[in-house]
Amino acid sequence: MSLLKETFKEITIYDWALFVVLILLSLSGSFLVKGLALSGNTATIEVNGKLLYRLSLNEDKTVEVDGPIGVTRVEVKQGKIRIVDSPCPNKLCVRQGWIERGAIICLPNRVVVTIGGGGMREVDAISG
Amino acid sequence: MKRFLFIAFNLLLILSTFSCNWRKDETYRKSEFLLDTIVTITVVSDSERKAEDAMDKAFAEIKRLGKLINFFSPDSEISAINRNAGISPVAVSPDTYTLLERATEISTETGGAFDMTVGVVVNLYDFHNKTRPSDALIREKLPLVNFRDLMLNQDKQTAFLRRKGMTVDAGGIAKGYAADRAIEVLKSAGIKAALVAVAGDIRAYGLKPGGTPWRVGIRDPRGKGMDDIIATLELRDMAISTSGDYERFFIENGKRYHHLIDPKTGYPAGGVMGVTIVGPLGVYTDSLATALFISGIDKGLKIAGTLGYDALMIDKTGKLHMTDSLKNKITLQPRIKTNEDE
Repeated sequence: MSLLKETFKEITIYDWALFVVLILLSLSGSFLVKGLALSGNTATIEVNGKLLYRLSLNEDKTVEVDGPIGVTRVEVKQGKIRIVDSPCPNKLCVRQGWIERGAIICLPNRVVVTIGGGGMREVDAISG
Repeated sequence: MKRFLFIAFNLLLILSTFSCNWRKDETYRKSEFLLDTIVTITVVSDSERKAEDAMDKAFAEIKRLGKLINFFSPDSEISAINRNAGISPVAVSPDTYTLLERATEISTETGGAFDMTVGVVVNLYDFHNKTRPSDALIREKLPLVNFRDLMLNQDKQTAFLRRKGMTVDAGGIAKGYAADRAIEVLKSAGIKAALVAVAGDIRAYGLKPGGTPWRVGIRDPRGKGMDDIIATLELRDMAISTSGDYERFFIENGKRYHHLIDPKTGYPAGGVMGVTIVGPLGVYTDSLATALFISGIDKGLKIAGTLGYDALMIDKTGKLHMTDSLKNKITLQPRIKTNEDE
């Protein structure tokens, strides 16, 4: 009798149960990792509460979005994002520069750029 | 053997039923631009439709409030009061009346550090063009600042500014009140947990899925941006507000001129960079944050203690001061010195 056959004979229900558990664990693990890898690698651009773009930060790109007072230009480069140009009077959003986490909000033109689809993974909101 | 297989199969079946069909609580988030700022509502619900419906109702409530109290809109009740300053009392809605009443309460409690009539002086500063008024102009306008000259008549539900030229502005209290109102609307729509953030005025209700409290960060007053935080707090059924000298300001000859004007002097209050207040109602945390900023560290902490609200105050050197009850609730981000360091 070959060694393989002998091994199979000795497999009990507990071994099968263990297999099933291990397979389930590995599957759930891969889903978990997928979820983690996605966060932080994408940026969203909303205008007036409407989601207009979901951009990968791995791809350099410049997009233009129409807001109530004009066109805001948003640039993605090397995993970072910034507002290059904005029709708002004080240009606070442009001055904020490149961000790798969190959000840039341009109130006058109603533009919200967020990294990681929420920008605040550790906190639910910020008071300030 | 067969029995074992049977049990194992059933166990798997039960597990899969739970993971797929059980209606799980999830968080839903939506933002809108209201009250001249960004309002973000997060709700916990087992149904997306219910969540969306509740959030829409809450946004509608904030919009309704905004129409009543918008300082810049000629159609608002606040504008009607201001137009009739020194002329006649104006009948207002219960919401506006409540707001004015709460504001007067905080003004009285803080000895006038919070004052809804300070707008006539604040508006002399142009933070956009970085210009400030002459000392003479401040002296001329300052007599028009006094919350005691706002007469409220509870029976008639009217408001009246005693002298011509006076104005009231609900800006320093309305965001917190709006967060309170939104939470009430969400509650009556059957939502069991939510977080309403009207800019930095935030009210938390219930617990997140999994039974954890809401986590709110406090902005670093000298951080690079909105997302630089100095501390975090876990909140459940509490409101939090922050006032800082970084919101609207300009620097002239090394001196920072910011929008938190002392109603008694007409000049920006010194000594403090930022104040965060934690307590049950947003209407009070919002107005107290301004009041404590104006009052300074010692007086400010005393006021918070008397009213039973928690306060974190950051002085001009970046040192943190807080009420005793806050010390074991707050988690500091390692960076800024605290008064325990010395």
